Amino acid sequence: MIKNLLGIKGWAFAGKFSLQRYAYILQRITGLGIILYLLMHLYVTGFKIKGQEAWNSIMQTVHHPILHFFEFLLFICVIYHALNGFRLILAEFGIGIGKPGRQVYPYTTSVDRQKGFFFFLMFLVLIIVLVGAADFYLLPK
Amino acid sequence: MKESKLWSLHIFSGAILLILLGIHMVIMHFDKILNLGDSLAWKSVLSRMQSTSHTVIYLLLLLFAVYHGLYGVRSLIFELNLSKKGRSVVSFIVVVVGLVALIYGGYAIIAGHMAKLS
Repeated sequence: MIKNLLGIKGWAFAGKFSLQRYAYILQRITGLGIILYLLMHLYVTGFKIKGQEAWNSIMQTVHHPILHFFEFLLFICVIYHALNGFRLILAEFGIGIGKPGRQVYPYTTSVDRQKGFFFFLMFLVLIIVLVGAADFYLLPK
Repeated sequence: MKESKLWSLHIFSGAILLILLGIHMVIMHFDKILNLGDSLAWKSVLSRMQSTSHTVIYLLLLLFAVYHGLYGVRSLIFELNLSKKGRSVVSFIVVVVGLVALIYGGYAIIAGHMAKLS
């Protein structure tokens, strides 16, 4: 296992590794947000088994504007985590990062091979988030 | 189980979640755009709760999401150069939290499906 010698700083500081590393850090931050939400989500949605009254009551509580905004932030986290995660799954199977070869000077790196794809996915994230924002805030119920 | 197998399961669960969570997100957050009706209204909740296909989707979603999420948290904490004992404690806590989430969530999904609510 690769050791994180920088400790907590190593989680947030990308140093010279630039874009890919920040995408990776963001993947982890969004992942943490999503798992924390999942545990709360399980608790809240559990109210449905108590019937309509209990459900409407908990929905009234969670329909606070601030909580609604946090829900939208979480929506953005999920979209980013899913699409960037899709890229990481492809990379895991060696798709889109070039063929492995002998290292000869000047050394090349496969790290930036998915840069274009990454920007394309981030464009998709933006589009989905904008559509989601319309659904969250603009359209009437 | 070997670390490499746990990692493969993490990747596999991520791929499954792309589909299952995708379905869930469309139903919950594109309901107005797609004219599906208010997804949080009791009528919609009840209809999904009583539908067998939704119940199966929710059970699979719960299983893969809990595993994927908690394995991710465990990997993150493991990077802090913990001792062997520290790792065992973290793994134990993660398994307990996972089991509680699976039992509670699974109970809510199945009990909701079986209950005669209206």
